[in-house]
Amino acid sequence: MNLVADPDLTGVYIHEALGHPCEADLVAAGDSCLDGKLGEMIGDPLVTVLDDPTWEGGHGSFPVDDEGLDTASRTLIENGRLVTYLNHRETAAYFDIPTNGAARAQDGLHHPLVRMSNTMIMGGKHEDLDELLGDVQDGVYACGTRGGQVDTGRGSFQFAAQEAWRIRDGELAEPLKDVSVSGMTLSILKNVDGLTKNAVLASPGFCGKGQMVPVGDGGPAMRIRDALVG
Amino acid sequence: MTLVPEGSQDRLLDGCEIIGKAAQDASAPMWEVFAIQSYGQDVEIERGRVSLAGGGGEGGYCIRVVDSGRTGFAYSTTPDNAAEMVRKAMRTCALTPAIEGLELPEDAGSTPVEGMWDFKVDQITPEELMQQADQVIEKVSELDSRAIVTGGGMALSCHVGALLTSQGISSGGRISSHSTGIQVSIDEDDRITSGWSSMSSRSLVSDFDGMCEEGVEWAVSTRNLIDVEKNVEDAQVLFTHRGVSGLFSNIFCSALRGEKLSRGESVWSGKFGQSILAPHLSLVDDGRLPGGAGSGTRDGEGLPTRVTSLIDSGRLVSGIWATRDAAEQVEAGNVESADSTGNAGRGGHHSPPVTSFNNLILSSSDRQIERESMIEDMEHGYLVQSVMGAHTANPSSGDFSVTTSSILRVKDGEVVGAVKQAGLSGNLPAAFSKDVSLAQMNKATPLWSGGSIIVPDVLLRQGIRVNSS
Repeated sequence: MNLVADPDLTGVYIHEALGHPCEADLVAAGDSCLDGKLGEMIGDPLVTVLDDPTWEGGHGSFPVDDEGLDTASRTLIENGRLVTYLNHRETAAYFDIPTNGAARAQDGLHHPLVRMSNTMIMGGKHEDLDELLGDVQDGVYACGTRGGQVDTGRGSFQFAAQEAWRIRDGELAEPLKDVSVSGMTLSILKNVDGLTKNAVLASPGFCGKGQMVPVGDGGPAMRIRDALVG
Repeated sequence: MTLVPEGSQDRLLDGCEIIGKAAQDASAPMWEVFAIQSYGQDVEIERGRVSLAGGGGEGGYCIRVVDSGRTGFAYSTTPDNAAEMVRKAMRTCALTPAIEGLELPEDAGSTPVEGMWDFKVDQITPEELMQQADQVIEKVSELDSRAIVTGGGMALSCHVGALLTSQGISSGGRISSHSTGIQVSIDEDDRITSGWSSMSSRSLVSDFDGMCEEGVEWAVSTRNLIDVEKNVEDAQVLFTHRGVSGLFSNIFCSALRGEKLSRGESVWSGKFGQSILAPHLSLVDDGRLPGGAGSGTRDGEGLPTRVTSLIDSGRLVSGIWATRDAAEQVEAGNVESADSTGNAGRGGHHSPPVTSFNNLILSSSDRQIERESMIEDMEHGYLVQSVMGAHTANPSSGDFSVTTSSILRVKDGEVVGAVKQAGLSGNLPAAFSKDVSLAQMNKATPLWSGGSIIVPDVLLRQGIRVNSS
């Protein structure tokens, strides 16, 4: 089914389904669907994804990582191609690539792990939501999230939307109850066929990976072909 | 050398007495001082090898003051600043709204629960724990040379606690636990399949074969993908105990909290005495299960633990309560009377006690058969070992829409292969009120499924919609 996700849900998808598999400690552990895919086209050329700890006002911003490195914006996917993993010193040594300042620890009781900061899919060519919906004969528009789960190794995910509407003939129609979206990360990235121009950092939140750290995520409204909507 | 330093228990009780004395000196009308010190060792496994080993200890003290129904709380890592802790608690106490009738419980005695401490857990060395992790890694490889433990590990912990109150409760105790979990993956032909298994005990575990076999079994069985047409159907679904525990926990645990029931926020609000599940099903919260993950001699407020019948032969009998929630709901007029059911739980010394389950146990008066026989009986349907997004279920309505990460297709009473992914949706309380069967609790697999949720495999013959792809 065609799915249009608002910036909030888009951000959570990018964080959970793509960002976590980009964390090099998971790649090194054999628990990432992106293992061995550096340099490969893993998404539609429309898709560019940043993880930026220097985003002004971002909930996941930090100037220096927890191994003492200055931070900078990192492009994870550029026009559909996987450019880099997020690294700390240990994984950078493991993969023999430069570290990019992604070491974060919850507090002094925990050791630093590879973590995201503010993760964003960048804007596309559609002027606004109306234009994005206009081409959809039958689909679902889903907004916000009530949480979700990702299997980084298999590359599968599930998110529950806060609100959803049926799309009929390019217009929002009846509201839908308890909608969830699931799929395989790599298939979905290749099925992105529309993004609105304006990308926003939508969701300040906390990410749990055994340790809690503040993060931000967001993007534009995103249209996906052939999503599993339940 | 032991995990728990000698004299820990006495030091905690001494610290509680110092803080209790400060509360008396400050004329706090009612107070309770809780202390906990936790010690642990853990080993992490990544990509078929031990990747990290560590350990340590942490803990502290907290005080809750109750004055004319108002509550104040403060915590610290040491009793040295007892007077300041008490001042903070009394200051916040003066600012919080009063709950008429809220009082800390009097001592009602207690009887110890067996099997909560194993000195062997306290005595195991880091080297021995590493050897156990290696043993698991080797066993998985032995079962299938393609299989690798890609994640998981082992953890030992010992907790020492103490509780002292103005109402005559003076109690201390210790518990141990040994937990392990593994994710087993097979990466072959450009496709990864995984199986997950875990076990947990209050005693030292030495036999990990069952856990390894389960993890490998699911990594192997989900490789045999079968072609399925994209299809939405109402189907029979046999959930393994791991497969059902997440949904069961998120929906049933929330729905059976006394506060939710009385506020009208539970799917079963207003249904006391009514039939809400199939008549052969019963549900109890057992705080006294020997060696139970959620067992204890007393609850977090010092009341003796008990067995509380929640659903008896399908009828709603009771919810669970802690002291504060019970007083609050009575004052609000949402319920005529309510008392603690010994379900105050503590997450540590940083927060006051909250209502929580001990060991929630689902049982059936019907004859229970093994999983294999259930598969034969169901003829057509699905076997589900794990779902993603169980926590997104709606606890107020019981509705859920999740996706599966390990699902097998059953045809003519046999497993015929794996489905890549499928969505499952429905209303869990409604499905449990229809044609439902429970399997025998398999003694060969870990008893614990979802912490202190104890459920066997569950066959739901109606009410589950499967959206396969």
